[in-house]
Amino acid sequence: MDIRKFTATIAGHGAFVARPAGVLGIVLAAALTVWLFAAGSYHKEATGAISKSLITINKYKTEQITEWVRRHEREAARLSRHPFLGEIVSQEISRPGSRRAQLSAWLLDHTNQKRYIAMAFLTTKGAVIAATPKYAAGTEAYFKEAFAQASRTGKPRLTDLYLAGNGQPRMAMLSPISEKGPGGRPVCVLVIKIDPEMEFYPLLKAAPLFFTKAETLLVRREGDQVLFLSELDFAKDSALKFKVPLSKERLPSAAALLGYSGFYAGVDYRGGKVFSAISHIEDSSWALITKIDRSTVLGPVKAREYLALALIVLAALMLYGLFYAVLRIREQAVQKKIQEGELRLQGAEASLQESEQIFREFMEHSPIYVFFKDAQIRPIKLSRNYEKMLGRPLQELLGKSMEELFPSELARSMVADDKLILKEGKEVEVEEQLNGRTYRTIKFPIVAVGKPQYLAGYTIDITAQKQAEEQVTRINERLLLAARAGHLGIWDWDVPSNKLVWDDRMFELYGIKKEAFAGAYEAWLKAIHPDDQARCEEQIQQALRGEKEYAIDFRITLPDGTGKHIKANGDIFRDAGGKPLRMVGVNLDITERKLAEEELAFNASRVNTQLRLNQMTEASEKEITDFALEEAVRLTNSTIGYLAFVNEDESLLTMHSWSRSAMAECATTEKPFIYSVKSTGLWGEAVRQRRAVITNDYTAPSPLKKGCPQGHVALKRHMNVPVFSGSRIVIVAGVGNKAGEYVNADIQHLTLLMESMWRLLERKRAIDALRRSEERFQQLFQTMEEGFATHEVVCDAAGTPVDYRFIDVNPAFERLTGLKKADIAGRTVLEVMPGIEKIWIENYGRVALSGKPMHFESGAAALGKWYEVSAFSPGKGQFAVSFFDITERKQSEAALNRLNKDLVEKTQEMENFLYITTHDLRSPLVNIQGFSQNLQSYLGELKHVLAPIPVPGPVKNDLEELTGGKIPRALDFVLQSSRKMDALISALLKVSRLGRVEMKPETLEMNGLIDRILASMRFQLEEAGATVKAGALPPCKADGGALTQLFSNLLDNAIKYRQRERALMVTVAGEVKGDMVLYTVADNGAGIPEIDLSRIWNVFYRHERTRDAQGEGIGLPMVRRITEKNGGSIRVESKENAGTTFYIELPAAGGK
Amino acid sequence: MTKENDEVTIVMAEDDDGHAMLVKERFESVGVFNPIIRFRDGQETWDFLSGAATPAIETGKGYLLLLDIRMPGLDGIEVLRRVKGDPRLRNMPVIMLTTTDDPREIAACYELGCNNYLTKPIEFERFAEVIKRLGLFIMIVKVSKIKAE
Repeated sequence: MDIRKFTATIAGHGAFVARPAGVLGIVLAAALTVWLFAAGSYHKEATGAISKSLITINKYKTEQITEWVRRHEREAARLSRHPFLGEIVSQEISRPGSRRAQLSAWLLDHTNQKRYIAMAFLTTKGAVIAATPKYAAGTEAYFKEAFAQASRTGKPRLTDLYLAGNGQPRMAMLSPISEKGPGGRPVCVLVIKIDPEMEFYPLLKAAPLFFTKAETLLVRREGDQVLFLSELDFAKDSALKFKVPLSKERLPSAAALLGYSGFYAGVDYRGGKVFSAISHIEDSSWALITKIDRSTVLGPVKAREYLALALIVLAALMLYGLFYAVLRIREQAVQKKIQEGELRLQGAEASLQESEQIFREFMEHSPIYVFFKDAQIRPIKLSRNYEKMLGRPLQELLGKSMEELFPSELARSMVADDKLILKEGKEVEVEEQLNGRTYRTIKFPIVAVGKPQYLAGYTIDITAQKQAEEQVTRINERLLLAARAGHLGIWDWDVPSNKLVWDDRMFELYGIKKEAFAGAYEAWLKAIHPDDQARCEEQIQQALRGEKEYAIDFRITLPDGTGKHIKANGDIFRDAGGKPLRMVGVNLDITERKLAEEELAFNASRVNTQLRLNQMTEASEKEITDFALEEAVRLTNSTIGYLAFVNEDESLLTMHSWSRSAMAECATTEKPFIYSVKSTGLWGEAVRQRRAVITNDYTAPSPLKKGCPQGHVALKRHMNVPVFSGSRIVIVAGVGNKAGEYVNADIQHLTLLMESMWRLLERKRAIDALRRSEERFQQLFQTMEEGFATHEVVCDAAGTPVDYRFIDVNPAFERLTGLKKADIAGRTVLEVMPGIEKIWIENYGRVALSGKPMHFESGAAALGKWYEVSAFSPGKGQFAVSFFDITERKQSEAALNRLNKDLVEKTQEMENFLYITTHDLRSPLVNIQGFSQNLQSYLGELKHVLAPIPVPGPVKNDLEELTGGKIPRALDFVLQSSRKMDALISALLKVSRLGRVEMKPETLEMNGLIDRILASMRFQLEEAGATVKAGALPPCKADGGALTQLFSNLLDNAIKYRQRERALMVTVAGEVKGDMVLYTVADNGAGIPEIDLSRIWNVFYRHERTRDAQGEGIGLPMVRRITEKNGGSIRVESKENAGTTFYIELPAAGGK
Repeated sequence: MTKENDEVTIVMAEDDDGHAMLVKERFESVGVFNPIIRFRDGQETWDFLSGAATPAIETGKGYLLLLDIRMPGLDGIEVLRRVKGDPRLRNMPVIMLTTTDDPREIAACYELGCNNYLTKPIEFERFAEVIKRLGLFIMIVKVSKIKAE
């Protein structure tokens, strides 16, 4: 029936395979429609966008133009109302030339400020009163008319754009001005000429980004023509000259002048297609057009459209090709199928008769129940065995309803199932109970074309199987439950075939992967700890022989090396002859329990040992270590033990003790006590590896072993541990020869014990050290020179210290204060010294409560003594005071201070004395000089008086000798000497004044200072042919003026005392030395003879050779005084004929 | 020299006779012939100025004070301080003529209100120069008359 149905479907397809050309046509038509629609909307979108942009730009520009025009109109009006211009112009008119300069200046200034091209004051008749140089009279008809109107009406205005005589576009502002302010008759008109190129046209030209391709232009109507007011992008020299008839079709500017506004698609003055936005400018005859070429806007859109069209057509062709190919393939397949179907139909009919025969036989003898039911759910065919099931012959069963055949409840569910099967056409499997038996039934629908629906099925009696299954399930469930609850692993050993099966838990227990398990008895035995293997095998054998039930504890070793304790039980199943067939049992992990048991035993023993160890506080170190060692041997089940201390750098081991048994066993006569860690054998490993080391097979060869001396106790097993204090190993403890193997528990045991021992030793050592320190302190306390006393503070309820109590004082305290320990110990200071100042209690109270120490010097007026006191707090609420007598030091300090003060006073006195003296010395000098000069002048007068008087020859000779020789010579000497004396006094004055001047130290940038000095000395330096080199000089802290003088003097000296045979070279350098800076000034001059080196600092010392040179002889003394006054020092090194170096040390800038 | 200043009397406080004489001579040599009253110390000078002595300063006449600093008793600075502290004398021009060239002293004098400060040099040429400057100063300075109390 299926075949028939299929052919029918295929027949339907046949009609469809036709007229591919028609399909192609339809597809292409559809594609074109899509494209037309897309292109249309593209255009619309692009045009919409450009229209918005153009309108925005146009609107913006319109506003700008309007604003510009208004601004200039306002300005014209403002000037027209000017308060003074009228008056000034009137004066000029009545007295020509009187104010012209002023007016011209104002015009020029205004022109420059506002970027106008020219300005002028014109009379109402148009004659120039004053104008800027560039002003050209307006001869244009438009201008003349506008001017005449303005002077007649007195109304200020801005003219329209007009073409000037020189062919340039112009605008003008006309401001009629009246003498008596606005409103009166105008006396003149202020004309301002504007070049629109300057600021008006740029308003039109400026455009944003993409719209640089857009053009904005301004037009107005002139008769029936459109006049372009601005220079056009595509027409040269067009401003105010280019015209187009107003009637020209689709011209945006014409449309604008005819009253259109907004978006306008048209043809521009060049004849190009454009999009434009047009508007009329308010209160003017102007229209503003912003336009852009259509091709600029739609160019990219067009390209996109053509591309889209090509793609759409291509896609349509491909779609058609595909469709056509599919149809061809389908057609061929269908034809093939039809041929095959016909062949099969013939074969089927022959085999049908044979099947029917088999089916009848089957129904008669089937062991399973087979049924066929019709759509009314009545049996139409049943296998013979139904007679047995229902106890009725087949004839009585066929055609009956289910109600009649089965108990009603069962029948109802059967009918429901069957109806569902018929309805949905699905197979169903059900289990049903009938007369205490369980049947499994599988039913399915049978659909044949042309026949009513019916169903068939078969039923199997599964009662026995069901019972068995349930039993097994129950057992399994119980077993699993038990196993899971007890963490039991279950094993099953088939003895004859030696096949061992484990459950998952077993694998978990043994840490073995299922795939890696060999599944045999030996595989299990291998997992068992080697020590327990023999025992386990023994037990298994006993159980197999039936001598003993199999129940055993053993240890296993997992592949990862860890161990577990296992408890195992098992039962044996035997054949009739008693031969074991199968052994089944469980394994239980009892590791935790075992460990807990071990731990418990270990703890009990350890606690006991610890207790005893801790009670040994009074024992000696030796007793403690001996005890710990014996316990270690006992607790680890060892027979021998030892203990070695490790030195600070862990390089040496000092054997401290052997256990008694070791001593007894070891026959070595010479036991070394100190071993080097490097060269020790296996037992040094604990230090080298910094961890416990177990060696259970000491007899096995090992590269670490260094061998035992003859007679040394024989070692079978060995274990030792390092004991740490912080990160340092302090002790190595070892035990040996345990009967069994050493395990981790032993390590723990030994480590804990040894650590406790070490703590005890450390504590004991600390206590001993403390005791010794206490003894030393007591000794010190008793014998020290310083007075020492301990106290505790007494506080009031608020916690404020109000008194303090003496606890202990030393003999020095008694000696220094005169207070006896017996009298003051345990008493408070207020009891002992009721008059003591509060400040002491406060200060000491603060030390005791805050813990901050105090250090001070204190005088006891009553005793005439000074003490240096240190107070500190040894514990909360306590303070200790140590002090010693510093009276002598204080006295000498006071004496020193007095001396210093005296010295300062004396120096001051000296300086004052010097100062006054020098002045007083000067006073008579003034007279000596003054009168000597008088005498010189009187002598001249005398000669003059004597000249006409006739005197005898010899007298005349004498007179001439006196007046012309002796007297003037004598006067010269007097004057010379007094001058020299004045120089000396002046120098002294300078030196003494320096002593009185106060230094003002500040941070000085030395390179700058030296540069300034060099600049001021340039002439001298050049004259002397000197070179001065100054390196980087660190700053110092000193008085700037004084240092300038200092370095000037040194450089001056270098020039003055240079070696004339060679060019002078001076080097100035500096370096920081701690808190000071050391400057050097070195020259290659004449140098100073050694004999003079100590005298150069003296006032009026001058070098022999330069005695005639100018100089006061105070340069170097001044230099020294300046250095010293600035807290520095100076010294000199010199070699005759080689040069001199001055070393000047001054406080560094960073210093205190 | 303006006529007014011809009648100005120069009051000189100078303890050194030689100095006084030299100054007088040098004045004359540069054409300053005003009457000069000389006192030997500060006290005498002050007595004259304050009217404590006779003869004393006269109302209605103009005076110019030439002061040495270092004088026994009242020194020049003290006299200057008193003159400038006296409402009647305050406007009298005061010239310090002294051997001291200590900048601090010079500053102190100007601070107290002296009109000029000159150091006595010992060399003839320089002394002559100083006196000449002083003479010029006297010629141009505005000397107000002493008012009645």
